[in-house]
Amino acid sequence: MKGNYLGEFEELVMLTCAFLKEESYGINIVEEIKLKTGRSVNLSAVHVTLYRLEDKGMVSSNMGGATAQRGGRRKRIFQLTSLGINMLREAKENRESFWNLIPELKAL
Amino acid sequence: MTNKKTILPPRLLVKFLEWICPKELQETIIGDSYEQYELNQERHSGSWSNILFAYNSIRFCRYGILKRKKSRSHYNNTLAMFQNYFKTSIRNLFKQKFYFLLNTFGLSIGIAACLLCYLHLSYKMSYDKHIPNSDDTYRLVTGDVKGGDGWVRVSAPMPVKLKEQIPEISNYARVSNITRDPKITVAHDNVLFSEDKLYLADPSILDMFGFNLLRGDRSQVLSDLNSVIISQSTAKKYFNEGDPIGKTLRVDDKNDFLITGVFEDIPFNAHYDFDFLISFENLERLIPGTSLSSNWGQFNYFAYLQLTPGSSLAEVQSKIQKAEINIGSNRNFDLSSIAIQPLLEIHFVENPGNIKPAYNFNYIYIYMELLLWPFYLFHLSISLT
Repeated sequence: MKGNYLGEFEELVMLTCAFLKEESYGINIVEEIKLKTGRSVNLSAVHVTLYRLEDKGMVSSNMGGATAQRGGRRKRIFQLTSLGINMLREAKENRESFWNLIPELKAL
Repeated sequence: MTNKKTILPPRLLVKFLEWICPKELQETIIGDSYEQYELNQERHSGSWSNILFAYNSIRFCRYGILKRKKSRSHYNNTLAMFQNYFKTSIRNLFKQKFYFLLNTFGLSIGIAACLLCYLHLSYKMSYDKHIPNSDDTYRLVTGDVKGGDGWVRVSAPMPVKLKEQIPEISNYARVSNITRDPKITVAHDNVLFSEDKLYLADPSILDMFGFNLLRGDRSQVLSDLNSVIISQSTAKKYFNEGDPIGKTLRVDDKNDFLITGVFEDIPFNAHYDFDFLISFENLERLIPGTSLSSNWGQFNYFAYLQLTPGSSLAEVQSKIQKAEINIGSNRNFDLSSIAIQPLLEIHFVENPGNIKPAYNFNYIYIYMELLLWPFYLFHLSISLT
């Protein structure tokens, strides 16, 4: 394994996950990312990322309730594990340590 | 909301999703897709959301999803056996790197050699296949042609008289060099070359050998005694990009010929090669001492016969040998010694008088010997170490 670093998209999905709490499942994450960042992501990309994060132990999942909209199918609710939270925080701190060194950085 | 009838996505697409997704993920993926479909229904038209659903379903065909599908191969004994074979043989090969490389190298040389042999042979077998009705085209010969000791030229009046007598012969074409020494000068103004592919030929050769005329009228180009048709590359040689039609070529610094046509270059896999063709009727005029209607003993000219489809070689040959033609008193041969040779055999038997050398089967042995050498070397290097 080439280090347990978070990818940019992984980070985005994890943050959305943390924000949505009990409502963090596939399609909601897609909609939320679109709302917050204006970025159009594909449902399948989010799913694949979530499963990959689950393999790495950064998120865990359990089955939520079914609604009529989903044709009676249950949701899979994802939530961050402590490893995931630590990784997120670490990524943020790493970045901040750099940002603190270059407070004057601005686009021309 | 409660009264609103929910429109479901196309069933076929749902089936498709079920098919590509692993069992344990199916429920959530399809559920999410349903929800997305409904969101799209609110935002777009019905058919557009169907298209989006199809697109998003197809996007689920990705490695991250498909690899999670438990393959049934784990339960398949035979497949497991082959997987095991594969694994162990790879490991064994890498354990003995040197021999592995040696063997693979030898094998690849062997395969390459076979492919080369195949290419070579298929090229050789393609000789004269471009000629239309090549199966029904023959050449008048004499002597032991199959054994390589024949003579492949006959006299000028022979095919003419034979065609009159034998109904199976539907056409003939005679071809001849212009001089005994094939080299001859051809000049246009002050562009002068020494040429050796200038031939006299009956106009019927155009159809018989399937010439592709690029310029000129097929039925007219050789009808005049002073006409000449030239190959494409020859036209380029003399006139570069200029128009060759109507220009004059001076042959042997004596006779002028008017260019009336240009033909596509003869392919290399043909038993003949022409650059210039002039009418065979020029024979008496250009070569002193020749005759188109007599001189039966003058065996200097190729004579190709076009037989009607389906005629048998033996039958036509016996008719030729029994033909009652007055061949004159001044003769050194008999019609019974004349035979016909199938066109497609020409390239494979070397006979005196051929335009191009025939295929020499010894080449095959040489190639094989050359290809075997690396194996000898490897064998030696192994057994000596």
